[in-house]
Amino acid sequence: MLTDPPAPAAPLSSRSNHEQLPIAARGLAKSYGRIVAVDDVDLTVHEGDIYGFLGPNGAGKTTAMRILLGLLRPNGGQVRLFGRDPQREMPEALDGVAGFVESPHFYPYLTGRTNLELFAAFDGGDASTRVDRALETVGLEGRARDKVGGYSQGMRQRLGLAVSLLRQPRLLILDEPTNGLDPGGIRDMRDLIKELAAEGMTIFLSSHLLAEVEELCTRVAVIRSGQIVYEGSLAELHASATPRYRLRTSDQERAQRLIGNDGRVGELNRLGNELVFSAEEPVVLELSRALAEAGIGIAALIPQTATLEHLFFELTEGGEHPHRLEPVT
Amino acid sequence: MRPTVLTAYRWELRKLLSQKRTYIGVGAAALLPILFVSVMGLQKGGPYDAPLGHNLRKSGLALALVVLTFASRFGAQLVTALVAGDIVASETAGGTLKMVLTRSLRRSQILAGKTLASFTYVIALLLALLAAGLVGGTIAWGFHPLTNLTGAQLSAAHALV
Repeated sequence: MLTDPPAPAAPLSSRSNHEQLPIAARGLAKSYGRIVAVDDVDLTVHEGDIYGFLGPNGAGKTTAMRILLGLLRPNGGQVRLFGRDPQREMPEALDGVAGFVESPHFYPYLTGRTNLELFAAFDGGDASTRVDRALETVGLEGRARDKVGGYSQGMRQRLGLAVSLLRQPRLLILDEPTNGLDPGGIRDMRDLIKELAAEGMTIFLSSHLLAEVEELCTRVAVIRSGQIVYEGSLAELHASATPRYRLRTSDQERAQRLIGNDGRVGELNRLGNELVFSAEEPVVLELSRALAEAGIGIAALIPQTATLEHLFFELTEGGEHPHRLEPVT
Repeated sequence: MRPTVLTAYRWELRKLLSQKRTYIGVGAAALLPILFVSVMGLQKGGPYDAPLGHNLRKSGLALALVVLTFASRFGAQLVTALVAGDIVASETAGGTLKMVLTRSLRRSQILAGKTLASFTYVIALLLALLAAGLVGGTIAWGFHPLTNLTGAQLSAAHALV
């Protein structure tokens, strides 16, 4: 684990402290019988963040997001969206908030446009005046008169974004927004998310795709088996990783044994004709001397910049067996 | 301005009007009296123990009332339960419920809108039944005066009302 588990935060009893925060969640817990879906989850999203909620499938992302949107009652913990409690103050707590969990769903027997008109009516205010613009924004104006039953997954995903934009949200909550989109659609969706963020919208999105989060997000939370294992900026996450090195020597067998015997070395793998291991710099200096003294010639010792992918595996699988499917429990 | 129960009700109706099965339901309700007439035409007997049962062959107007009586005994409650159940269950099954619940309507407003729409639909079904009964009965047995339950004679035009 890269960071200590976050200390239990003070309960969100006083509203004023968290008035400004789009999302403040403390100690969220939800279990289904023996299965713990979400365990003591804290999330803090600041105004203007593009916040990535990252974790493998089944880690509890959607459960946590259901609680955020007031669709699911947690066994414990509290949520505030701009200072309001979605568990108690509905629908007011969702003023200025829009989004969906899992994939967006619509009435298949109504056209895309009529679906938007329906949800706009359920929003009240002047949401109905934004239907056309929302359709244009997501590039669906040409298919708006067709029934949603004939839409592809990608078109539904676009319509899902459109239906969220009707609310003119200050906070947009999206569950795997690029799911089911083709490469062009993924690019469009990401560009759109960046545009919306540039206009000042706070965006909370879940993803199991590292590249997506790396490209889009300013802050991330990584969830594993219902627990947050990291929350913070991407830059800090990069910095927090143990450095990795690639090593090529005259005698890889002996070098591997020598390095493997050092308890301070985190991980040691053989990749082709190179050894890859993680260790702090002072340890690496000692090791290079030890290798030389053992009569092993060093052809290359190259520091690796940690990829987010590696960090992700380290966080979500504890660094062990990154090539094994974790058993479903 | 926040949406109201009326908003929910209006859109529930619009949803009903956009679905094929709504019309199939109305058609089935209208078919019921026609079937009744056909069966009556094929045989001599009749539901003489039912209120107005004796009048069936004397005036076409009795049919609608008899069919309505049957509907109120066996059909209407069941259909109401089915319609009301489906109008909520279909949203859960289709995944649209969680979309609706994250808008600006209160849950009670959504439910009230659905309840009103269910009742509206059941009333529409009963009206279809009544209309088809009047038409079918009149074609089969004519537009004649009707003896009501107390034995008084009602003129055909009066009975229609």
